[in-house]
Order: sequence, then structure tokens, then C-alpha cells
Amino acid sequence: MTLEAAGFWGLAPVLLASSLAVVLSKNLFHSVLYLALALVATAGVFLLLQAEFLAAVQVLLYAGGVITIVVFAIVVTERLVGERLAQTNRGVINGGLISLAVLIWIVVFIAGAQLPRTAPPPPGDLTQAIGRDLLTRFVLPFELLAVLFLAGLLGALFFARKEE
Amino acid sequence: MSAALVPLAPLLLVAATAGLLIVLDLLPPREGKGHLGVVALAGVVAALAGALTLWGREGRAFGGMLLLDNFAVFLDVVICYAAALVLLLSMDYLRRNGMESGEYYILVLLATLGMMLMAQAADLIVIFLALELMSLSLYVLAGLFRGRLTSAESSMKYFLLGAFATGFFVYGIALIYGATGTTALDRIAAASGGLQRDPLLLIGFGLLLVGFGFKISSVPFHMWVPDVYEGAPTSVTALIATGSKAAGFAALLRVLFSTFKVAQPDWALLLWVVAVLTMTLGNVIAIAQSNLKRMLAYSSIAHVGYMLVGVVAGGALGAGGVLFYLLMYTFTTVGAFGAILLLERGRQEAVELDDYAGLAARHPLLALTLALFLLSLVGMPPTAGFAGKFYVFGAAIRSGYIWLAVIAVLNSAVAAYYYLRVVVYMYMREAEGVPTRPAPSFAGRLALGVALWGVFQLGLMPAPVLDLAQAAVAPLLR
Repeated sequence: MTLEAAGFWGLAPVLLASSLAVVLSKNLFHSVLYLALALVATAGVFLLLQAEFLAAVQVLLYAGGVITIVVFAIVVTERLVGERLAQTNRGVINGGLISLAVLIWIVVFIAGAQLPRTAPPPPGDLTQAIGRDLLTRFVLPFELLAVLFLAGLLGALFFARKEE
Repeated sequence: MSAALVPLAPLLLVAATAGLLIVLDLLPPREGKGHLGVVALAGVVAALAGALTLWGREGRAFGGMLLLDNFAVFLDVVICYAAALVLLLSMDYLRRNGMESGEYYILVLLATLGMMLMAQAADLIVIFLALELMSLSLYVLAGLFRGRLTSAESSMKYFLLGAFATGFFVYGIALIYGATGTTALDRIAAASGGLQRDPLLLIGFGLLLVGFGFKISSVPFHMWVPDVYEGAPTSVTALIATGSKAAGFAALLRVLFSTFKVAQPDWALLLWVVAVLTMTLGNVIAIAQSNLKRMLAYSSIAHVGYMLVGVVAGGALGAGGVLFYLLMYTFTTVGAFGAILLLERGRQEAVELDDYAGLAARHPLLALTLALFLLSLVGMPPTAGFAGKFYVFGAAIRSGYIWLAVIAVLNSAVAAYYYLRVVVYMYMREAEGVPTRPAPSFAGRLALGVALWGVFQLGLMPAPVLDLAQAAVAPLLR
């Protein structure tokens, strides 16, 4: 067994268990912590696939940014509502069935796909390539994102401003 | 100006005006923001004029991610008309409701920029970002009246359902990228020729259609429309009903006719069903509405159904008919919402049917104007609505979709009932209680005047504009 395979089999149970814990845990706050764990484990999988940039973004953006926002949301909502929020799972059977169907679909899809037997050669410095493409081929989407954020920022400012 | 920037001129004008407004918003006078509205209007009118001068030119920018052709120019013009009329209507309306703010005008411009980008985009990534820019701005605008519960509900519903639709859209793009290895529309077209039955591509295309269906509000993705239209400030409702619809159709037509041309028999069949459901459901539910904004919301769903008839018919007649319909629908709908926006009863907006009883006796001119817009929505000659329906339904018959045309005509007859009911209220009922009064607004009247001009220009002399619309779709069909 290669080191890569060992890493994968070490990460996979953590990822699966923490993902399940996110949806099954009654305590909303615990769910968020499990979500953070799941996201970091996903970053680990990216690292194993030699996608360092993606792994870094995953940790920064999701484990860092998104989790922080969710924690804030829970804390603020609990204070506003005045009671502890609990996660209820009324649709657990239907949800499970749909998840199962998606799982079967993905397995069938992968089984039918013709995958190369050997791993493709490492593509060199991905971070550099992404940076170059972002400012050349994809400069328009990059700039548009800035305008999009401007609109979001204006909206947030408008709603956050005190009523006159 | 450098030649490379020419295709971008209308976009740059709108974007630069938005930037200018951000600065002006910080400067005095702090009381009243009406002057920002004037600047915004000037920017949009300049973009409109700029777009008109670009007719007939072709160009690409940013490595083919943006393009300029007659199709883009035509839709830029439609969108600029919608934005300009909405800005005219907004100025006094915001002041009357005590919600004048600089952000409003900036966000209207940013939404307009997103709409125009959708018309000029040649890459799925750009379409997606433009869609988001437009939607995000509109989500905020819908919640402009912060003190009103209905406005907050409108904004929240629009945002949640819109974000959900965005998810479908992005997933679709991802799958299409997976199947073809590109997001550029022309390269997807080239790659999809050999992949017709590729499940990845088909599912991706389907998800893309779900996203578009939401933005143009076709059944079964129409649930958000009535609540959002009713709760949003009326000027914003007008923008959502016209500009965002035109932008949605712009990107949809480009994707359908030029990118997924190979699958035309398949999607035409699918859209046949969607068109019938959309117009029937919109019209049937509109009958039961007593709130005018809600009624017009369901009516706008029905009109999307009529436009989809043109899409199903295809060809220069069908697709050109849709463009003509979009232009006429913009004038008519902004006009109808504009008339509603000008009227108030007590300190409230006059949106209930009862508020319109006996309006013709006291304010004959305004009542007549609203009646004309409603007749155009019915499709009476000599208004623009008749020409629009005539071209779109005619294209369906020409392409052999006789039953579709029959269903559409029957639907129009049903629709006449609820539009004419408003006219009956205005002309044949006695007013009771507090009188409904129009607000004194020169800008608002000017907007109604321009919209009325559009309705009759397109109604009395439709042929030249139809020729332009057919020339506009030519780049998609070759």
C-alpha cells in the first residue's frame, strides 16, 4: 500500500463519520464543529490529489470563513429567539432514500467511466498557473466578481444602516 | 476610443455612471437624492444612444467572453428603455415614500449592467456572473421599504428562491463543462454535435433550463412571482418584470438557438409543454386577484408563456417575434406599473381594484392612459400588444404548431376578462370613501408619456421594428 492510499483510507472514515454527524447531531453547535472537521478532511483529500491550492482555499474559505459566519448566525439567532436551537430530522427517511439514490447513481457512473489505470503526471506548479489564468484568460469574470461584491456590499450597508 | 473597447461602450457607460454615483452619494447636498436619479438617468440614456449607434457592428472582447452583435444591441436597447423609464418613475416615488437613498440608484444601475452583460455574454461563466449581479441588486431593491413587512418578505423570498435557482444554474454549467471541457458558448456548440446523447451534457442543459426558467418566471418555477411583485416597491417591480425578463430571455435565446441548436426538436417539445402550462396557469390565477400588482404578476407569467410560444416556433419569425414582444412588453408593463405607482389613496398606494372605481370621472387622462396600457396587455389593435401577439402566434402557425397557437389565442381571450375588469371599474363604477388621487410628478408623467409613445409607435407601425428584430436574431440562427 502506497503512502497516498494509506492517507486516503485514514481520511475517508473521518470524512464520512463527521459528515454523518453534521446531519444527525441534535445540537446545532456540534453540527457546525463536525462540519468544520469534514471540511478540513476534504482539504486533506485535495492535498493527497496534489491540489495544494484547492486545499488551501478550502481551509481558508470554508473552514475559516463559512464556519465563522455560521457560528455567528447560530449565536445571534439563539439570542434573538431566546432558546437553544435544536436540529430536527423529520425527513430523515426520505432524505436517506434520496442520498442512497444519488450514491447508487454516482457509483454506477464511476463504474461505467473509463478511468486511466495510472495516475496522470503531476501538472507542475498549479498555484502559479491559476494565478496567471485568473489575470489573463479569466480577467473579465475576475473583474465582474469585484462588481458583484460591490453590489453585495452596498446592499449590506443599506440594510445595516440605522433608520433615520 | 480604442477599437477594442467599442463593443463594451454601453456597458462601460453604465458601470462608470454607477461608480460616479457612489462618489456623488457622499457629497452634499445630504438632503434629497433626486439629483442622483438625474445622473443615473443620463448614464442610461447615454448607454441607450451608444447602443443604437453600434447597430450593425460586430466585435468581441476579453478573449471572446463578451461579444457585440445586433442581437446584443437590440436587447441592450430594450433593457436601457426599461431602466430609463423605471428611473424616471422612481424619483418622486421614493421621495413620497420617504425612502430616498443613493444606494437605490446605484443598485438600479448595477442591475442594469448585469442585464446588459447577459445580453452580450458569450461564455457561461460571464452569463452566470451577470445573472448574479442583476439578481443580487434586485434582491436588495425588493427590500427597499425596510419598514414594511411585505417588502421584507418580498426581498427574502426572492433571495432564498433565487439562490436556490442559482445553485441549479451553476451545477448545470459544471456538468456542461465536464461533458465538453469548455464554458465558451460557441465551443460548447462545436463539441456538443458529437455528444448528443451524453447524459452529462443533457442533465447539465436541463439544470441550465431550470435556472433560466426561474429568472424568466415560467411554470413550474413561478412561485416567487406574486409575493415578490406585490411586496417590492412598485418601481422595482416594474424593473423585475421587464428588464430582468428581457435579460433572462437574451441569454436563454442565445443558449438555445446558437449553442444547443442540435437539440432543437427536443427542447422545442419540452418548451411547448412549458409554454402551455405557463400561460394557462398565469391567466387562470390572475382572474381571482383583486390586488392589481398581484394581478399583473400573474399576467406577467402568462406573457412569458406567449413569448415561449415564439421560442418554440423558432426561426427568424419566432425568435424575432420574441424580441419584438419583449420591447412591446417593456413599454406596456412599465406603463401599467407606472400608472399604479402614481396613484395613491389616503397615504397608501392604490393597489386594490376598489381604489380604481370611478377614477375616469375625476382623472380622465390618467384613467385613459392606464386603460390603454391594459388594452395593450390584452392585445387589442392598434396597440403594440396586438402586433406582438400577432407576430408570435403567426410564427407558431407558420412553423406548424397550430394547436399551440389555438391555445395561446384562447388564453388571450380569458386574459381579456381580468384586464377589462379594471377598465370597467374605472369607467362604470362609482367611487366610494376616500378619493384616489394621482401624485403630482412631472418625471412620472414623462415616463408614462414615453411608454405610451412606445405602445402606439409599435402598434401603428410595427413592421420596421420587426425587421430590426429579425435582423437581430440573424447572428444566432446562422
